[in-house]
Amino acid sequence: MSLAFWTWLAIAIYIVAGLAIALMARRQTGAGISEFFLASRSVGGFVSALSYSATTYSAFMMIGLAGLTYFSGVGALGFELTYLTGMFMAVFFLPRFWLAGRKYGYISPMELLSDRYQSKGVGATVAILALVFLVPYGAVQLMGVGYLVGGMSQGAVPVIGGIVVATLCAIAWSNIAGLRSVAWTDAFQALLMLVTSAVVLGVVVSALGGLGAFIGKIEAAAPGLLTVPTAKGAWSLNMFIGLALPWFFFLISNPQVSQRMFIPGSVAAMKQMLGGFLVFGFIYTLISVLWGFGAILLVPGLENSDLATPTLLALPIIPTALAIVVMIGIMAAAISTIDSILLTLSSVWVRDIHKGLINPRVSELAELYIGKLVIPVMALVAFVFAWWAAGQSGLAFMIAPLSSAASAGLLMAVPTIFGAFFWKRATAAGAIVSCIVGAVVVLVLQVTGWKPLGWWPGCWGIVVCLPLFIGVSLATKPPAAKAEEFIGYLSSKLKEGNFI
Amino acid sequence: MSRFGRLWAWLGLLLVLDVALPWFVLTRVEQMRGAFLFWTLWAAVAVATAFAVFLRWREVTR
Repeated sequence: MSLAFWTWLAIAIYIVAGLAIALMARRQTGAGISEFFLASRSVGGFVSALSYSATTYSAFMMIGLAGLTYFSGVGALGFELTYLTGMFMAVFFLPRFWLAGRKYGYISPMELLSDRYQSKGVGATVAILALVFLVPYGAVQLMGVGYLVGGMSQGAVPVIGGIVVATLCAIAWSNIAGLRSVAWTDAFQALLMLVTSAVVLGVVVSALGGLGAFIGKIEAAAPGLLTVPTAKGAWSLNMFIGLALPWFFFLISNPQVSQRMFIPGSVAAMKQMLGGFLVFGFIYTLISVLWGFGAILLVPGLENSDLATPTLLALPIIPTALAIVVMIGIMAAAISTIDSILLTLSSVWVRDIHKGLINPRVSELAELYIGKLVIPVMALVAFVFAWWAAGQSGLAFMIAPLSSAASAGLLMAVPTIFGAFFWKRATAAGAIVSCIVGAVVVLVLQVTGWKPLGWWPGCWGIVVCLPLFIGVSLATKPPAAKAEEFIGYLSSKLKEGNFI
Repeated sequence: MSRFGRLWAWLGLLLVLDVALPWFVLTRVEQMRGAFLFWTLWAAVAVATAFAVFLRWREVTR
């Protein structure tokens, strides 16, 4: 039997297992839009933690971050752990999102902004940001699966084959039972990705003579990759800040994860979600970076760093069966992210664009119907982008920088989100102007590749966006009554729950 | 300073260290006990602080 046969067989088993879990979740699913998009805000701590982890950690980690480590060394660790430290902000934002979601019934994070700023335009503007900038991030997941399957099978399975499989799985799992099927399949996939990656890292480390020898070999083979900036000039301070700044605010800027702050069923579940995620993230980051260092030792000289993981998995030191199981684990990481993105974009479209701007009287049934139609449409857009980007080359088209570039656009909503919770003087005009102008700046700089003063697009975007948000807000009239009521309600509840 | 202010200040300090140590202190340490170990411990401290905060949360009434 050929490697391609075993690869397809493993993918088939994975799909059957995922479908079985999604269909089981469907049996528990009730009616209504809150059920479809938020599982009726009743998800337990364990599933919440694993689902949050699987949604956040994607093909980016074992392919993109490992590739970035392979290409540029230890700076990749600092970059990713800066993201994890950004999760510290969850101690401020998680209770606020959760409390506000329960009190006012928000489905999407943009609905929260529309209500708080008393302007449908705010929600629609941030929704459009998400629709534009999450497409490349979703596409990155598909590319990751394509590279992985193509590399592992040594070309027997084409990259496009992997991209098609990932797209179809994501559509199915987000459509079958909405968030409930996404959360359950995510939980299964999170366990799969963590366990398989830990096992295969163990195999590589022991093949290199154990942890002590592994560290010694890295220090001997690539000392220049253990400092920043590296000997080859990667990880200048500008590069680090340019990549890490959007990543640091990922928690609140990316709606597919901020929407998850609505779903825990209790404070205890919320605590388990946050604690579980932090532990998961810390371990998975170290595994991915050490894996990248392992690739430096075992498969040096690759032209495309994103192929480091598939190339390493294809080495004879890794048993074929284990390599295929790891491949499935990484596929799971990618698909669990894109199905969440599709579900969130669907909710954003129906609640913030369709209901918010086009037809405020749309029935709940029609909203569900439209939401289910939007999922394959957005998947198709991401698929086309992935197909195109997989044919490009250079740093900008590597998985990690492409992911961060997507978050650079979403970063423009961060002042608006901070303002909603912490600044009564913030206004809708300030939010809309700052988001639009900031996003245009980011898009122009990303498309042209221009980095004035060496600063990356996200940095210039926030330099423009933040003063605009403050200045325009100060020059316009805030929704004083709503701001008072919203922030006042949160203050009283924050005190009651001993939150910050 | 309130607990809210102290935690934001702590996060700010962590971010300053995130850049200051690897780029200005550890830049010649070409070993795993340099920037690699620093960032690992640095993130562990941030995670531990978050635990110390959220473990004090308690249930609220609807």
